[in-house]
Amino acid sequence: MTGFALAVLAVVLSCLVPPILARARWIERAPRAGVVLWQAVAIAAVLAALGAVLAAPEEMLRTIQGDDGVRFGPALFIAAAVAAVGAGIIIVRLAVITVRLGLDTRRRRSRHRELLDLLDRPSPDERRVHVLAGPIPMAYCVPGRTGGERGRVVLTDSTVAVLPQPQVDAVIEHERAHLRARHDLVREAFTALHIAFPRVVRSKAALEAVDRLLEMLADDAALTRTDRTALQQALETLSAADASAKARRDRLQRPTSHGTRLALSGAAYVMSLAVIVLPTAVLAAPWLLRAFEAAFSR
Amino acid sequence: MGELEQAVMDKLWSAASPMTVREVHESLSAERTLAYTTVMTVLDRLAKKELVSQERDGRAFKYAPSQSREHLTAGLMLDALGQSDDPGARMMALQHFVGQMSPQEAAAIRAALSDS
Repeated sequence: MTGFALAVLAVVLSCLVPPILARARWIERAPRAGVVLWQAVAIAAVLAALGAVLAAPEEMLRTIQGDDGVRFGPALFIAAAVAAVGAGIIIVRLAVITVRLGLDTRRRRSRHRELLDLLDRPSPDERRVHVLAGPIPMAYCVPGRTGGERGRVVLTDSTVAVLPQPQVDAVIEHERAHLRARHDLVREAFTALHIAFPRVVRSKAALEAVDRLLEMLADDAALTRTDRTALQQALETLSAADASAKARRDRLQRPTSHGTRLALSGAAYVMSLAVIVLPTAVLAAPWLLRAFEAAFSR
Repeated sequence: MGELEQAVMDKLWSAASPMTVREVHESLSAERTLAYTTVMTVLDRLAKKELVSQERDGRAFKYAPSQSREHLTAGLMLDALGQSDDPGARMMALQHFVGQMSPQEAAAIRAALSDS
């Protein structure tokens, strides 16, 4: 039953938990711990899938041959081989997806930076801001080859035209916060896991929730270098129609006290640990014990 | 070198028609000292990056930008929004973009579309 239970857990963690967790508003008050919690859920799903694949062949053998029938012999070796191959496929697939995504992302970013340099030289100060012609106010960042400091911030000229300078500065600081904290790496890790999950159990809710949390983290970091009002007003102007931006604006207007954030972070970190450890321990350990006993009780 | 590439692209974008290496060199020499071979190298590199197209015209090569400045800029923005070359993702990015627009912005886009 362990294999089946672990498989059910994998499905629950990968496509049933994300939509529920995405609706939990309290996580937005402790965004860094929230991102860790999402990572823990994704990793736990992979661990559960691995556990299911490792446990199932031996259990199927047990149901065919009966509890006493599982001894060292060709059948057990075949079951072990099937388990190993299954686990190997999961791990190799994840590795291949991660590498391909990494290479692809970096190649496209390099091209993007090259084109940015052609269209507009970066500003001479250390903020490396490009301004491109564009009818719609927009701001984004492009990470550099190594480390966030060599990344670029891109604004459209309509952003500069429509926002007063303090708000432009706030937007730039928000983007630089993304670069400094290497949020691109966090997104990449999540995207790799997202692609690795079979389409049937994939959940966009996780990616979107993490994106939202990363925006909030960048907001928090930008506040240490820029004015809260400026950031709020810039958000108001740039993304008036966007629902997730409204969540960010509301959040900026009602900052969380240090104590509350500490408590909520603690809760999220404990949940992260639990989600990774408990299923592995509770479900996998009895199976390991049984398999051990069975193999050595000749 | 990047600064030189930008200067060369600026000349090509402002030009009404494809330019030869000599024409680009002459135009740039008004503002700086530059070897003819340097300009040739830069144009060659830009051609390899598919940023300029190379056409034989008699004995000389003529160079023109492969995309207008606006087209390149729009491509960059779509890339930033969609973070993907796959057309399905770009369409989704465009739709997401449209979904975020204010009425004034939508009117501006409609006007731009009817012009093109």
